[in-house]
Amino acid sequence: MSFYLTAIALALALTALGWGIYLSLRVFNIPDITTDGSYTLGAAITAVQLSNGGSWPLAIILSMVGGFLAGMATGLIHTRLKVNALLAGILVMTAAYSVNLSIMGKSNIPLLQTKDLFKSISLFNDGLMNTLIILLLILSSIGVLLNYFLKSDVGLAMRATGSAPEMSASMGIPVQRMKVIGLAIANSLTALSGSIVAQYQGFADINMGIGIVIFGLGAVMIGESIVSLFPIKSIALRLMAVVLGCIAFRAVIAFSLASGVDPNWLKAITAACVLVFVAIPKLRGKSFAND
Amino acid sequence: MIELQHISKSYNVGTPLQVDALKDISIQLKTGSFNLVIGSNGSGKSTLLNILAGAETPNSGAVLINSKDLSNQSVHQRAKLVARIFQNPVTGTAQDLTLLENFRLASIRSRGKGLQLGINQAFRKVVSSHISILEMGLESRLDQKMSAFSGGQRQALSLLMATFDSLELLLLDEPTAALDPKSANLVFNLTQRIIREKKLTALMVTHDLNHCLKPVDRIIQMNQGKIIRDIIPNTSAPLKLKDVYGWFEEKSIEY
Repeated sequence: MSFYLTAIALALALTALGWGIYLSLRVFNIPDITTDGSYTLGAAITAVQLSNGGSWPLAIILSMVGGFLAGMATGLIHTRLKVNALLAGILVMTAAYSVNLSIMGKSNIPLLQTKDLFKSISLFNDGLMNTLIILLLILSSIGVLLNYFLKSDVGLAMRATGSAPEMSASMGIPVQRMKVIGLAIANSLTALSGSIVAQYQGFADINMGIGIVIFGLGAVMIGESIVSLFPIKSIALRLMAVVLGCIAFRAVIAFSLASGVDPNWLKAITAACVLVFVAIPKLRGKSFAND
Repeated sequence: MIELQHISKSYNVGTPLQVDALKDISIQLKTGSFNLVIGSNGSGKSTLLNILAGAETPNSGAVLINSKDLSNQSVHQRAKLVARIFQNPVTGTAQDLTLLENFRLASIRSRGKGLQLGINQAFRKVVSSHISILEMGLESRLDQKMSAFSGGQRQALSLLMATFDSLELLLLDEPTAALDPKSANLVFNLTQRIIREKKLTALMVTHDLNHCLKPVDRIIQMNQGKIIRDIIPNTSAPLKLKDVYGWFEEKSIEY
């Protein structure tokens, strides 16, 4: 049981990243590869802060600022220099690797001795329960803020720019600036996840972000197939669905590990899992067309 | 008063492929007038509309609204004064947003977009009564996504959206071209009615020559980047469709 609870804890720690991907993918239609870099960036900043005796709230805030800047960089390269969004993301991700390495000074920083988020707050005696509750508290507050933001005027404007850029401009929305801000917010959420995961697992590693964007994309898509079962699709429901998507995804991985799959194959399983979720709606549509 | 002063626009300047889309165009549009622009493909009428909207920058010349020079303003900056209807209803509405959310954005076109929540019961009522003039029964569908509506409905809605907030100039880029004849008629009549009721200054680019026979204030015909006809229809001697077709048959017109 605790094996699956651990999977849920990790899924919750990664949910902010899922929301970040939801923003970039579903609002702007950009699979934002900056994610791999900004996730590690969040972990790196947090690890350096904590191991130098800094406090966890400051570590989290600085991580989010770092992610915000990384997203802004991608956004500016994409909108100002007219570089394809995928390529802009790859460029920033690649550069972020060097930045992360120079922030960390080495490829791995252990955090077992530091006073992190989970050691500082003690609500339950049971360690795992304590972790889960802290994660739920953080997530629900971020989720409430994000839900409010997306329903506010500026959030509406942001959501309009993705599907109707020309109409948005004619409605007085600075489309380019919206994209930059949106990608910055998305990556600051991703960096938040990086920070939380580093504190949760007790270390930051330079390679921890490799392929994490695929996890986010998968979680969003799994979430969408859950949403499709409901007639009403509010923003709150969509955000909830991403949480469920993250949990389902981590559960699949936990299950594969439990059933004795070689851990070296985890990334392949992750990719296959996403492929299945991308392919299902298309294959389903095809069979309808043939009928 | 809307003014275009000596507007020229060329593409691929200095190459063998240079195209002069507009050649030293100057026009003044009277406040509260409904202006029609016709012309064959490539005559420059869409470029003219895009320059008014700010979507394209002229090589020379100025755009003035009420004596204020807007030449250096982008589309979203001009949105304070200028509203636009697109040819394709899909372009003119945000399909992932609900009808109500689209109208919320429309209601703050001329203002900044902040962190407040704009959609409340009072706003629902305003939108509901506003769209009831369409008599399409859309009042009960406020929470549906725009993608659930037909092209004709979306174009009618986008017309209401464009004129929901205050404006000085309404630009219509072949608003009926993508619609079936019945919807096209409905949208044109609605356009005419809103322009007259709100006393709007409007410029409509159209390929449908039947529009020339409607009670418009001015008809401008363009050809090869120049204005070749600029008339105020005479109400005592209404135009006939064959007269208008005749304008396109003249020797000087090139395609």
